[in-house]
Amino acid sequence: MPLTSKIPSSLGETLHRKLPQDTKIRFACPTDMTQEGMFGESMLLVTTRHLVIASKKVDVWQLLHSVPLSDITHLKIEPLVGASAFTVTVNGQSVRMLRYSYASAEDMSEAVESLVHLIGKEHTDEDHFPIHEEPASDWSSRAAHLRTFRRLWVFCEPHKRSLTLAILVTISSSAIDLLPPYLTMILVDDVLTNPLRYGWLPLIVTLLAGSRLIHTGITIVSGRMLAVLGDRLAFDARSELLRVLQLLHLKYYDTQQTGGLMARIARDAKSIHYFWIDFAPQVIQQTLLVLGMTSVLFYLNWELALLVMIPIPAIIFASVKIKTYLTWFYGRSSDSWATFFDRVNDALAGIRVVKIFAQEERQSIKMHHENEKVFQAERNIHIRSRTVRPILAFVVSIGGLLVWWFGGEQVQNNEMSLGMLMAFFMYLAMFYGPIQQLTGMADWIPEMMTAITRTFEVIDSPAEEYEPPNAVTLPRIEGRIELKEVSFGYVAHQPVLKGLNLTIEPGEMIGLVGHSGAGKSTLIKLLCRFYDVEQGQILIDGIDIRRISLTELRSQIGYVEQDPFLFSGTVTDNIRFGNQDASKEKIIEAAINANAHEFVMKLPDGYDTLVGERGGRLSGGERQRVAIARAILHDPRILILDEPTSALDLETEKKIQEALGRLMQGRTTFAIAHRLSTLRDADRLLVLKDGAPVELGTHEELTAPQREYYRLVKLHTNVSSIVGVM
Amino acid sequence: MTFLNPTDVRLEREANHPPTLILAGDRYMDIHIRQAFPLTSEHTYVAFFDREDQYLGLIINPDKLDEGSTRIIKDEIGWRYFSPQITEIISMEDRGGKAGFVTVTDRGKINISMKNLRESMVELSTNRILLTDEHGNRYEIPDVNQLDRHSKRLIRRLI
Repeated sequence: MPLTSKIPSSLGETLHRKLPQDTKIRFACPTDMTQEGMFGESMLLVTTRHLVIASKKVDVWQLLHSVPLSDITHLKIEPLVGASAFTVTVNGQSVRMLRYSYASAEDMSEAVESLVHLIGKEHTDEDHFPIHEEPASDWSSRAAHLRTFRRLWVFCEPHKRSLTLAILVTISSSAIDLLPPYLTMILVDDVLTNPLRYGWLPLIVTLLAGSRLIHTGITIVSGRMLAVLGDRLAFDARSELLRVLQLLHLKYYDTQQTGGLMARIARDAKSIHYFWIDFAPQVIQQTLLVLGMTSVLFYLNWELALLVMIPIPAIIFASVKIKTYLTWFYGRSSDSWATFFDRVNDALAGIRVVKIFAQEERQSIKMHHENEKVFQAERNIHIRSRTVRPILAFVVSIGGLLVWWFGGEQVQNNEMSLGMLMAFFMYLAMFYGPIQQLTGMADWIPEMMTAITRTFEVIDSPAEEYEPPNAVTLPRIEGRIELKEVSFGYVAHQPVLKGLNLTIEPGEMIGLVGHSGAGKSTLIKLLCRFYDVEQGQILIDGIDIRRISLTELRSQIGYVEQDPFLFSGTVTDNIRFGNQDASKEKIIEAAINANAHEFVMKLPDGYDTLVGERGGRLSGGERQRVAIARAILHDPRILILDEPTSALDLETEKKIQEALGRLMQGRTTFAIAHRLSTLRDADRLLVLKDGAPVELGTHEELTAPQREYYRLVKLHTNVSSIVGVM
Repeated sequence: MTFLNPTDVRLEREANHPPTLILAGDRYMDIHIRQAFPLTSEHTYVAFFDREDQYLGLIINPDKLDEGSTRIIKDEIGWRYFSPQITEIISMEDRGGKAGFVTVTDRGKINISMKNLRESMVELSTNRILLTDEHGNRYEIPDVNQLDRHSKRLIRRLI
């Protein structure tokens, strides 16, 4: 947020030196590029009287521009390629103030908007920041980790009782482990070497067997408990992900590829399972073992125990280093997997195109290339971790060697019994084991944390606001739509629609006409509220579209896409997609009205026929008609039609046309029109050019030679006749 | 009109001939019938097509027709839709997705082999399974719970 950005103290000092003493900062916005176009720190500052641009050069802040606000007549954000520029007009001359990457674009847009607002109104001294401010503390990774841990706990909370129980059982198995070395000591020192106690042998062996048996039983119980719990947690995480994915804003999908998301659902969600099942219980168990064994070792022989501790600092130091070292490689591996999934997903979804263009080999090479990247990334990890672990193991073994040496001497001098030395070794293994386990786990942490963080990243992405505060209920939309000065761009300050004004009466049909990229589809996306207008308003029945409950709005909008998407499932499933309670009679009725009934009846399983992935088992015209039936059954108040550009055979075309005619009756309709017949049927036509409305009227009114519409229609009919001839 | 009125519909047939439909007084020879929902609502939504495969109309609940017509429709459905029902699964093997079942159906004993188990088995509804073998033949298990213990145990592994 630019308005709350803190000023680094070093910049504060520079400002103090260069600007008048009474200067106060109204707001500031940090950006990410220097004047030379290198990445670096720059800052836009608005003071009481000046617009200041500062840039950091070799750790020193320099003031590049300082322009009195009163001299500024115009402000402009200019979209460049890969970056944007901020320019102001001072005394009639343009001055280039600042360049910044897209990462800063949103903040800068906001800052410039505030500045426009400020220049437009009386200058006040309110809302200022003192110049001297400590820089905002960096995003602490520790805090982020802590937050992730807290989130992880939320997932586990419903199961905390069974988790605690499972962990307690696991710990008790460790307690049982303490017994065998002690029994061995008795066996060696008292039973094997003392003829009076030879008879104890069966008893000791039975005790050893018993402790082993109990240990095995407990391990099975705790393993099963944790496994069930783990699968349940992975299930919960996947469910949450899947739920959120449905609610996310379309904008999110504009920037994400499906393959990457699939990888998250399949692999990353599992990381929550790893954390609670493999990681957390292990850490607790092993830590307790280390503490327990330390006491036992010191109790048995404190001198030897001290020797054992010698390699510990080295082990801990090395583990921490290894963790940092490996984190980077795990990040690359997970990236390469995501890209791999993307490519494979792409290649398989587009397999028909690949085959038509005879590009199988090139596609294979491409996928092979991605596969190779995965291979390299994985190899990088495994080579390194497989090198590091044996070295660590060697360091650990040094402790054992010391015990042989000094412990051996003590036995030779009769200062310690052989049984005790053996017990000491057995406990030592149980001490170093957990230490190695714990250090081994150090390289799980980065992989796991990366995956967990990414899972939460999706879960935390902003969902659409389905019920805005003070939502207005509109149980039945009449269909009066007003567009008031509507402007919108996908990238800030690059409008795709500019100042659109139009009022549509209920039941009217508006044909949208224009070249591709003219803004037709964008207007439709705004009407469906996939995006919100940037400026202006869209009113439905006099109510701002942003105040209408989203569920209510969309349940009354019908959309027939250019290339309709059908879900894998039956014809029935697809027709009743928007109206799950529809009876079979209603489904047939809708299909009859959509001219789909006859062809559906000729499919082997009729309405029970599976349409395949994306409806692939049906032809384009059939898919269109199923989609129209779906829209009819949905019974929308506002209908949006995106006519397919590709020509279908005449009969199918006629059937679709008839079906559409029935569908449009009594509904406010927007049609992105390509067919001449639709254009003729429209009550009015809106001709868009570069996002701006250029003409509005009926087909007859607009068919005058000098008009844009006439030109477009002529172009279209020429193309159609060529296609016809071919 | 969306659906046919039962009072307008009558069917006749001579042995070994396709039936004749009398629809509101008009006679259509050699008609054939198809079901709208052969899997989810069997015998309920029945459509008639003429000799040229032109759609004539659809009737809901043909049971409302006279006994003779109802009988003809039932026979025609049985003739067109061949989907043996599995009553017992004797054995089952799965070799990496390619599976073979030895089964007993209401039409006799049959070995069913499937190329891809995941795609060949569809759960139409809970406990109702449709199998399609590698040739495209179809077999149905109307209710898994009605199978004997051994068959149930085998099929439960897959669903």
